[in-house]
Amino acid sequence: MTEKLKESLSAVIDDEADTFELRRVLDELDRNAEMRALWDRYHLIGSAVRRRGGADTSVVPDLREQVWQALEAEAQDMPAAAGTGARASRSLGRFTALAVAATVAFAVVIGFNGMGGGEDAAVTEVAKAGASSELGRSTPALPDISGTDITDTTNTEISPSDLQRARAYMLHHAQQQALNQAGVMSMVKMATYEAP
Amino acid sequence: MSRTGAIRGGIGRHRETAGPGRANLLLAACVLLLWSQVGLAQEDPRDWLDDMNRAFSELAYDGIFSYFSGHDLASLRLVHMVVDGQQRERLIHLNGAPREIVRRGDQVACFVMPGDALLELEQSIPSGPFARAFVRRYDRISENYGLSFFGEDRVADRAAVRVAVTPRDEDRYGYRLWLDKETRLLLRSELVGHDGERLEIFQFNHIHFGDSVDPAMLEPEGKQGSLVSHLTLATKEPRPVDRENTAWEARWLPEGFRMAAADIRRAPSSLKSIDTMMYSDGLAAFSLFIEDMPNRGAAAMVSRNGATVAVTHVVKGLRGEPYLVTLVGELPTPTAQRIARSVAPRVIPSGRERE
Repeated sequence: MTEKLKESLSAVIDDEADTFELRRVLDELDRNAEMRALWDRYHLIGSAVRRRGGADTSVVPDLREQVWQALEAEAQDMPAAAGTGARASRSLGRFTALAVAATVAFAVVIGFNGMGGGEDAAVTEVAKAGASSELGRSTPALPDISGTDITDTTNTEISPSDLQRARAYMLHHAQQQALNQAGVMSMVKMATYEAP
Repeated sequence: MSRTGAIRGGIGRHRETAGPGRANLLLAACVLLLWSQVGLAQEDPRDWLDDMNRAFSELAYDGIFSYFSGHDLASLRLVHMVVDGQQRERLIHLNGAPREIVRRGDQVACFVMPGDALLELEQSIPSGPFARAFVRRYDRISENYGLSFFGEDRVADRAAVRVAVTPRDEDRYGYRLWLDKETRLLLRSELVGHDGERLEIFQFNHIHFGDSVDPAMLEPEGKQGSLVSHLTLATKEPRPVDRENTAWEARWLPEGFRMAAADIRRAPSSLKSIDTMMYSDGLAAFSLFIEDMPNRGAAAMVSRNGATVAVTHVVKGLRGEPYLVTLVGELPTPTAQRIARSVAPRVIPSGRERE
């Protein structure tokens, strides 16, 4: 593998690649096992950087598929991007290709968005229930860029990270319920929640 | 259980004494009908729910059920059997991306196909997800719900007895349950809103029991390319709740709700702690998640999926700093909002303040 490719891969993972570079890397990932191994390793490092324990490498290969899907969806300006949720899809046009790709990747790898971030939380005023406020703009380091560029959403728009948080908590609630009292229904609920 | 056993025995005796003549048959039918109605009237619905719980964990069954929640209708196959004293289960999604969950005792494996992902399946998920059925704490349930039989029906081509679980106030939902007359297994359940709207429906479309269940059906297919995630169930009971040690409390709770579990967990994406508390009235439950305000802000919102509502609300900490409260539960929206708004830091003696 050339140094150039490694750099491109690194750029993709660091959210610094342009659309062209991203496509080239994805192409190469399909062909090149060494590159795939490196992609996995980079993601593991990324997870470690995010101090997330128990990273599951077996999930990583399927990301590429979802990234592709997201790119296709964006190219066609279709609201069918993999698992970003109906409401989020409407604002897809505002994402860059990479933003979509990274959001999907982040959603799948982490599955629990909106929790990370620095210490100096840019706290925003929150509007009344049912309406979202302006979202703080953040400069992401790793593919954690969900929420970016939706700053100018209208007051009725809810960000993907809000939805993801709600879904993640719904799932967790189902699990807790299974622990404490209910059975089949909780498990079914758990099993029917899909990636956001 | 003994009473229900007697009913079944009684029905059997009448079948044996019924003669071949038409009058005899008619008489037998009448007596049978009368007997079963008298029998049901004498019975306690709580015994039926008790039997239902046992049926879920002890019987061998293989069925296909539909689960409707919110906008989604899922179709799943559930196979359950006790093999050498060990509960074995397999839950297979029949629609969409292939997914299945297989359980052997406390070992669980989830199989998903690429393109799909099990979101946030924790390293440790609770024990007996299938085994513990609908209801456990009947004593507390009857404080907040009325239990009654309301007739008979047929579900999945099987005779069923209907049990209504009716809330005593507007802060919780009701349930209608259809229990298999022969085995007491739950064949259908409806979660019902105050206006009678059905928020969730679970229903077996087809089910068979006993020896006809094929043990081979417990084996995962493991389709080519599928991803496997192995989990070990936590077999222990939840830790007893130390209410005094929670940093937060809900200052308003609907009648009968008590804290059932409390924990401080870590968000997978960071080491930030999330205070988690779960409350239950013995049947309905809700969870509270309290975390530092995310640095990109968060929308105060209400989202609903079937009977499950998620409410986010911002509260102030002891030093006026904002925290995000998320309530998730099977509750009417106004009740959920009222609880979420009542969340406040617990004033704890100095020296024990939360980090």
